[in-house]
Amino acid sequence: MWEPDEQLVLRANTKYKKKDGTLFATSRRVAWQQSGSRQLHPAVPYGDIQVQMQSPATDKNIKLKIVTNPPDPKSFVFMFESSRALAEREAIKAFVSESMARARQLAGDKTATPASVATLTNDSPISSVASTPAPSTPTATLTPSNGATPAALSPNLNVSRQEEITNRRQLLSSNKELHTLHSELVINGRNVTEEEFWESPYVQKIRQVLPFICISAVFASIEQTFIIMYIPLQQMKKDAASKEGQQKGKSSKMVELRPGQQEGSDVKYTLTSQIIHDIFAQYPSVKRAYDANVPDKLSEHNFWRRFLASEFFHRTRTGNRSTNAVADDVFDKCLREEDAENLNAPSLAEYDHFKKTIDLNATAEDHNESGNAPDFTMRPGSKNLPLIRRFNRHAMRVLEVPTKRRRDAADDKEDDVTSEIIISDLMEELPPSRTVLDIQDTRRYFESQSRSQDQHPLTNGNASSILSSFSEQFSHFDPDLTKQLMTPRAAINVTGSLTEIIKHKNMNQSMDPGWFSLTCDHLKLPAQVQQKMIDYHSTTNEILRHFWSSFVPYKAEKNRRMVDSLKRQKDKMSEVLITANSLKANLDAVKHALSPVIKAVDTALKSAEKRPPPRK
Amino acid sequence: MIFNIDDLTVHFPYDKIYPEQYHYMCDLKKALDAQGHCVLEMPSGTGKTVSLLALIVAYQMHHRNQQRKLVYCSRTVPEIEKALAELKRLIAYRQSCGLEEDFFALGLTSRKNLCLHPVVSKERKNRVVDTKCRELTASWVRAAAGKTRGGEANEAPPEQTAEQASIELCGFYEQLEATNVPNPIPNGVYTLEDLKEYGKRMKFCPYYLSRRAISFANVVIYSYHYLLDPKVADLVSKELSKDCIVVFDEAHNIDNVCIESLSIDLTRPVLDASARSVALLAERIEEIKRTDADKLKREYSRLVEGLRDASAARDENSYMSNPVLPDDLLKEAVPGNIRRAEHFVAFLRRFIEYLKTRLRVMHVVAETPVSFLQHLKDVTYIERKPLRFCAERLTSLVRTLELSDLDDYGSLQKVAGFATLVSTYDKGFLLILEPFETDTATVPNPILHFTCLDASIAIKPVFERFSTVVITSGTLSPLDMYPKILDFSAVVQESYSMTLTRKCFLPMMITRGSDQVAISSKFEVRNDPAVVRNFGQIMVEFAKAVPDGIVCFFPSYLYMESIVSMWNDMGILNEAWKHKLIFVETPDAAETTLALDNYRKACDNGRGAILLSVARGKVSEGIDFDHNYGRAVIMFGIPYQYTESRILKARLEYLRDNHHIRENDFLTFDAMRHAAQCVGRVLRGKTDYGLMVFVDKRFARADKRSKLPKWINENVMDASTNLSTDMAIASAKKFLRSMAQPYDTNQMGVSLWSVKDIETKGYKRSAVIAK
Repeated sequence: MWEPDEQLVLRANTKYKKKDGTLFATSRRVAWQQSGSRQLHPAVPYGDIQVQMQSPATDKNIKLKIVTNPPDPKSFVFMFESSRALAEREAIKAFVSESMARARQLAGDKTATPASVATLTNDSPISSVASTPAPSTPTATLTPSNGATPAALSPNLNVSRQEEITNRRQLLSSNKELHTLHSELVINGRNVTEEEFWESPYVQKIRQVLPFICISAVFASIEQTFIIMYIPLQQMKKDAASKEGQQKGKSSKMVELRPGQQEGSDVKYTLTSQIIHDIFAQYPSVKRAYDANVPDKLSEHNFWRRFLASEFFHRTRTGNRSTNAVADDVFDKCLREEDAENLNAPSLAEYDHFKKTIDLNATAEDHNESGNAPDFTMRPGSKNLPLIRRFNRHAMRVLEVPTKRRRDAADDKEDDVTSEIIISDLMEELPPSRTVLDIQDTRRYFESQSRSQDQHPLTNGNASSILSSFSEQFSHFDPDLTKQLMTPRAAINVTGSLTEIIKHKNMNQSMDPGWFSLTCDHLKLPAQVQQKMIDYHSTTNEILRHFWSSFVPYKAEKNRRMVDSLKRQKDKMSEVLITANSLKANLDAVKHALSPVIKAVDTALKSAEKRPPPRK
Repeated sequence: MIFNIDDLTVHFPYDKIYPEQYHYMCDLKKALDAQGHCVLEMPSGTGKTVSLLALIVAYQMHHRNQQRKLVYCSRTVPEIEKALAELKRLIAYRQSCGLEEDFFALGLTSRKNLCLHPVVSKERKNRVVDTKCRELTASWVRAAAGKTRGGEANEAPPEQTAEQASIELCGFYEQLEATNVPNPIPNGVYTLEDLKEYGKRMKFCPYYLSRRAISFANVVIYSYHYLLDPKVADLVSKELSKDCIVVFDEAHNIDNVCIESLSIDLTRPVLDASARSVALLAERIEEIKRTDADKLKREYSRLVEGLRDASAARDENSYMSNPVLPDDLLKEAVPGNIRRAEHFVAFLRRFIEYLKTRLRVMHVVAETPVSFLQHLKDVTYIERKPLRFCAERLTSLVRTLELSDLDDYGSLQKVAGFATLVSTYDKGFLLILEPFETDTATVPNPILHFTCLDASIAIKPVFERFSTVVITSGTLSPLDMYPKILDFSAVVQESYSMTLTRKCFLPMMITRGSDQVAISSKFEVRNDPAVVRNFGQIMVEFAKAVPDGIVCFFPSYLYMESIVSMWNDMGILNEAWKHKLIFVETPDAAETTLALDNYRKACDNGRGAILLSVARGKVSEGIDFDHNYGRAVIMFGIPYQYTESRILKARLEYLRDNHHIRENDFLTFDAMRHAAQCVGRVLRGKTDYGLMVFVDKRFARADKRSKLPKWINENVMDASTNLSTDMAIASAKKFLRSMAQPYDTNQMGVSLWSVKDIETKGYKRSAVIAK
């Protein structure tokens, strides 16, 4: 049985001991309910959980094992069944571990190891996503932000925190580069803290995904209980966001509220936060009612419960008046407001300036009406007009853009007629404006170029003809040396700058003999070395980024840490070289390739030294 | 580019030209040279307006001594704006080519669209703007305020009294009146917006400015009504000279405009309002009698002289306009029994009472004007002749009484207009009394339709007066229909095909749903759920396959509304919303404009949208759906008129008896021209592309297809005339895929001509024709 004021946070269809049922994660415990039964068994409070384990992500069966504390250790294995099993397990696992940590802190149990997740198999620690924090290494990733007492943590903060964590984990698993960086910098190197790592602009740029949380509400018509639960919808995670990425627009669908699962006489509606948002967007009257009544007069639960029972809801869903809906002052008012809004044309005061080419009103007012009235089929009836208005309004709301972005749209009013009358086919085509060639892999580009040069070998057949054409041209060659091709001044400039370039090039070549050899293919580095070099390079770069970001404005503590890391990183260079040596790679090439980074590190260290020691 | 047609040098503001544009210009020139009328059908979106203007302006400038003014009429204000912009561009091009010519062109529209007065311009309705404008600008109001007429400016202006100063006038109008220059606006091309801009700068009233400037203009652009509707034409188009070149662009609907301009509906509210107005008039007469009896006497003597003289004063205060009266009538004296004001008021009262009794009849009556007049005479002893002068007499009285709050007199004016029309024309009109709105209605709401059956009556003065009238549009097929129904003979009659290097539009006829059920908007099956569902499925499938904008047209408002609600119930709309936004045309013009604006926004930002509208509605007239604003136009059903309408039946009968046009031919012609018009708006230029989807099994029949314009019909493949939904979607997808490829085939010489092509091919053609 549910305990009073227990909040259901997550649910998932699972099998326990080969019986179908639902696994719930509430604000207090993990509980399982067999379908059809009211009994919650087993139910484990978070404080009692010792550890949870999972099957590897690759496994066919998606399981979660929960082991209770000694002295009476019991273990429960739940098998996740639904199509989104993996996602559901991840969510529950994350929530449970978080709740465990909180429960422990609450109990003052500081000595216990923080909640952690262990894999059931003994694969290498980094092989599976979820185990990013290796079993033995407690990391900051999964524990709630330090300092805040659990009591002070509002559920909202928790949710966003948890959502952030899941999201980060997801990211690390999907992006190899981030994963390496993370393990290098945060886990192994410990030179950057978790938060610093994620705040780096570079990492944020890579980041394209932000979590998406949905609230699911269960409305049981008989018991009148109303439970809100949170389900992170993993598959919807394609958004972004660290605010700078492209945002997904609103869905153009109208809000569709259909009863979800039907269990017995209960009718369940799912209200995700998205749906609630859409309801507010589509029915501003509901938003007004919500603002006016919640939470002073009605609790949020009560508000939505009454919403679902109201005539307003019934009518928007079915289009008809309900016969047995009870009178509800809040929503009947919404109903009236909505009707009034749709009955009249939208007020056009703010839309005064339409484009000239679509302004139908100008035509209607161009001359006074004359003639016979249209027959009744051409007279717009009033019966369906509110419906049509609602559609137009809905579509308009979907299109509405935030005001800050609207500015750039409203500029080109001036030329709108002209742009519509011009037929572009009849104009002389202008040469397309050039775009700068952006070659991703220049090496291959030059390779193919050099190859294409040899693509016209002389054959015996055409050699003679080429020769004859040359001789032809030469026989008619009549040099007119008196004619100046260009001004002497320009010629001197050109030769001067050419000589300069050649000189420079020669100097470079003599300085680095590797320059030439690197461009040639025969000194290709073994893949392993190359990987190692790339990792080294990106790690160093990231540290450099952290260094410089803490340099100006100066953050003493972090900067000092970064200096240490950079020094360490410099030492690591030898590690790379040793690997390269063991694999018989060309050491000069490796050195040469990494020299810019090393140079950058040197520069960084130098400037760190130059900075006057902080005055105390 | 600059080229010659015979001896005429044409400046064309583009680098290349479509062959059909060149041919169009050649034919147009022929008609101008011959000083005769012509009918030209030019494919939509191939630059008809610019060709027309380029040729006519070249012609005008070439024959500068002839001073043939161009009067260009279009349907809608956006089209007027576009034509003005085209003209502006053309003149700029001519100037950039080094031609220095005095050229003056402007557009004309209502007070509502031009007004600058800070208070009056805020009004939403033209009628209200008109009234308020009059209250500020009528001559007696200005006289009361101490402003003298421009002509008498030499006299020392009397000192303004305090009372005079308190009378509010319109500053813009006064400023304009204060200038002595006949044409206070420099040469140039003024779009409506430019006109307002200029008015704002100079503090001139743009409306009166344009009215005054018309006589100086080389080109005047306004809507049909300003030339066809006698009530308006009398005001603005009276002074146009005989050799003007008159162009009706987008003229496929011109017969309906003609008919509308002479038809009147009288209802009970109208009669009640006019009865009230008559009472007010009577009161006012009593008042004037006491204060200024001379005024009425002066009017009386003027009326003896005849209306022509009476109308001399009219230009000043011409706010109440009347249907056209034959010239000889105007010279006659106004009949004695309505000459005196109080007699006229009594006369009106009696007439209105008679009409009221007629509305009480509870069965449908249809009668000719002759029998109506006979009955009128039998019952009320009202003769035909005074009735004829009714409208003119009312205008005179209102002027004498110095009434400016004319808003209330609209109904009375309608009744007087009716009286004049019914007594002037014997033939081509019919009176139909319908006591109930629909057949099923039980509450009577009687309407007396006075309906014009013959489109040629209204346009006859135009054809008679002007030497060259050009009727042109994208859809005029079959071409011989228009000379028949408008009763004129054309010297040139031509339909051009569209030269294409790639087929940039795909007309398809869907006759069956994917379940093989035949689909049609035929009355018997139109509300059948199977048909409605199939319609919906077609829309959803096209929404999936077609990028950006889709426009759907329905035969009538009633049908569209019922379909939309059925689709909503069936969940089809929800399905469509997954792919595109949906906008629906509503009866309110401003509201629809808003929807249209949003529709375009949705097309621009890539979300895509569907616009549902009505084939004879506001959107179908003059809104272009080119490029991404319309990649597909779907015509659900054949847009027949409501065939049970008594007015339509009467017209069909008239056409059969007098013009020998069979009912079915006319109905199909009318439906197909609207369908083609809707569908044709999808193209602009030859790099644009779009689908034209006709959804009805009846479209496949030969009699329907043959009435499509030539340029569409040529591109209908036999294979695509009898498709099911799936087949149509498959070929639409194929078409769209091929259209999405970069278009680099060389069009030059085939569907695009340079000057060189004109020289070789153009002359070859004229040589062939000469033979």
